Amino acid sequence: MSTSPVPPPRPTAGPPRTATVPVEGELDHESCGELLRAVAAHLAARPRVDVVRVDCGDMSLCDSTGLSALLQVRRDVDAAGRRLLLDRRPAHLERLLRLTGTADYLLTDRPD
Amino acid sequence: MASSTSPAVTTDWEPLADSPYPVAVLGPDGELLHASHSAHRLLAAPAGTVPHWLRRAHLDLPADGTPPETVRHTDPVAGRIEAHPSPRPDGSAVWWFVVPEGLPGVLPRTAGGGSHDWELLTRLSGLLLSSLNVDRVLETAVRQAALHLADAAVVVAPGSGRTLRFVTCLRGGDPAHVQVRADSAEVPGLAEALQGFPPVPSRWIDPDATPRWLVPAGFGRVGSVLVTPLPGHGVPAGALVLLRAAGGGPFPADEEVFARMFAARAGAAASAAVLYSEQAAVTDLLMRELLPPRLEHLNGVDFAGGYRASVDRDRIGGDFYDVHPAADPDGETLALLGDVSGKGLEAAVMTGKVRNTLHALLPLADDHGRVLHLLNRALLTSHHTRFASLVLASVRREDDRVRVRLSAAGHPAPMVVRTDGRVTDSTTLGSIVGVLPEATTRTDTVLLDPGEACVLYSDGITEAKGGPTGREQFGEDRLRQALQQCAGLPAEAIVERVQMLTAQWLREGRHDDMAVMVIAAPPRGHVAVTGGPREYAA
Repeated sequence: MSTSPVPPPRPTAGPPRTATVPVEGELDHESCGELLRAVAAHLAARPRVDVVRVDCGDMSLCDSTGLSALLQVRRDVDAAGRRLLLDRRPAHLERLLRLTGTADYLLTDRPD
Repeated sequence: MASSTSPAVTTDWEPLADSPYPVAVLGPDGELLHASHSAHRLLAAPAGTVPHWLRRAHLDLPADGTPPETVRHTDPVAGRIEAHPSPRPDGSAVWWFVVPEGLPGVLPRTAGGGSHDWELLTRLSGLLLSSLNVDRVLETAVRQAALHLADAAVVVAPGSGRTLRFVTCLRGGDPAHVQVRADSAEVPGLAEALQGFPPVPSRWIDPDATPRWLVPAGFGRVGSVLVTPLPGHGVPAGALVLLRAAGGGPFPADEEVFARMFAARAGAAASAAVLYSEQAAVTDLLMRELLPPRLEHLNGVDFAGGYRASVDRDRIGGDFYDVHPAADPDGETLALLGDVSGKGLEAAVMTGKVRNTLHALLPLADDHGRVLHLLNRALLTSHHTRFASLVLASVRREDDRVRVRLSAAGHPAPMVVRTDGRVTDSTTLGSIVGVLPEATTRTDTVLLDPGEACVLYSDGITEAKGGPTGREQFGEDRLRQALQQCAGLPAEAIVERVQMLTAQWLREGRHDDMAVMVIAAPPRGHVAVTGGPREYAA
C-alpha cells in the first residue's frame, strides 16, 4: 500500500473505513429495495470503505423477501471486494438464518 | 431580398417539412433556407421569399449571444403571429411560429369544418381508454369514427391467416363483429395499413373497388374510402377504414390528418387492451398450473392437503405441494411441500421450475441430499437471489406402520402427531435451494404407528397475523397446541382443523399463501378401505 502525504478522509459515522446501513422496522417486500439501494450507494460513493455493516438492531421482522435481499447484499458486497457484517442481530433473524441454513453464508468472511 | 436556396442545405431541414406547427429557417443574410408546408401557408409568401417583417426581425437579432426576444406580428389574413427565434452560431436562425388555434389553412381542422377538433379528440381519447376489453375498445372506435369522421367505419384486426376479423358500424348504429374468409389485399391500401405502412390518400383509392364484404349492410354505394393504420405498441393494432356515401368526394387533406390522429389514439387503446388480455391469459395459465393436486390414499398411506392462496391478487406464486406415487406399491412415494420467496409472476415461474425439476429427479429420490444438491444447482442464477424452501418426504408403508424420511431445505420442520396427543418436531434441518453455492440437509426418519400423522406446513400458517390485536402471529406454539387436539383424527380432518383455526385467527386479515399437508398411517382396521386397489383385490 502506498503512503500518501495527506491522510485519507475519515467517514463521518462509525469507525474508520466502515459504512453502516441501519435497518429499521420490517425488512420485507416493500422495504428491501431501499436496503439494496442504500448498500449500492455506499459501495459506489465511498470507495475507501471496506466494511459494510448492516445494523439489524431495530429490525422487527425479516420475511423471505427480506432474506433474499440480505443474500443479494452479500453478493454485491462480495463482488465489490468488501466485507459484510450483520450487526446486532435480533433473535428472530438468528432463527431465520438457522432455519434457512444461510447463517454460514451470510455471517462468515468471504474466502480471499 | 429573396434568394434561392442551395439544395445541399435544404436537405438538412427536410424532416421539418411536415411539422404540424409552422417553422422556417433563415440564413445569415435573411434568405429562406427552409420552410415547413404549414409555414409556407402561414407566411403566404411566394416560394423562396421571406415577408418583410420577418426578414427585418431576423436581421435585427442580437449578434452578441444574448437571448433574442419574441417577435409579434399581425397578419391581415392569419391574424396574430408570435415568432420565436432560435439563433445558430453561423448567423442563421430557426423561427418557430405560434398562431391562434384553429387558424384556417394552417392547422388541421376537424371533420365537417367545426373548430373543436382538440376538444373532440380529447373526448374520444377518454372514451377509447375507458376499457381494457379489446372488443369494447374496437366497438368504441368504430362507433365514434362513424359518428364524427365518416358515414360508416370499419376496424380490421391484425391479420391471422385467411380469416379477416373486423368490427363495422354505420353512423348512429350499433357495431357488428364480422368474420369472413377473405384477403386483405382485396381492399386497396388495407394490407399495407395492417403492416403499419402510412395511409394512402383517399383520392388515390377507387371507391368502387371496395369489396361488399367490408361494407356494413344497408350502406349503399361507397363514395370515398380512407384506410389508416392503427399504430400499436411495437406491432400494428389493426387498420381503420372510413367510408363515405357516394356524392361527397374524397376526404380533404385536413380530415385525413384528423383521422390519423384519431387512429393513433384508437391504436394505442386497442394495443393496450390486447397486451392486458394477453397478460391476464398468461397469469390464468400459470395459476392453473399452480393449483395443488387433490390428494388421496396411496399404497396404504393417507395423504391430505389444504391450500389457501393469498388474498393479494399480485401475490401469486408462493406455496406448492405435490405427491408423486411410487411406481409399485412397495416403493417410496415422494411427497413435497414448499414455498418460493418473492411474489408475482417471477415467483410463479420459479415455482413451476422447482416442481418440474423435482419431477425429473424422482429416480434419485432415494438420496434426498443428492436431489436437493441437483435442484440447488438447477435453480442457481446470477440474476437474482430468489430461493425456494421445501420439505421432501419419502413415504413407504411397512406392515401396519408408515416410515417417512424427511429432509427439510430451509423450511420449518414437520410436526408429528402421536396417538397419545404428543406433538414432536422432526429433527430435519437444511439450507434453502437456489441461492447458496451448496445445499445441505440432515434427513430424519419418522415411524408412524396407525392413527399417527406427520404434518408439513408452510410458514404462511405460522406467520398468519391476527388474533385479538390483529397483529400477532399464529406461531408454532399455537399450531402445536392445535395438533395436540388432533390425535387419532384422519388426515383430512387434521388439514381442515388447521385451516379452520388459522382462518379464525386471521378473520379478515391479509395473509400469505398457506399450505398444509398431512401424511398419516391409517388407523387399525381401516386398511381395506384406505389402501387402494391392491387391498381391494386381496
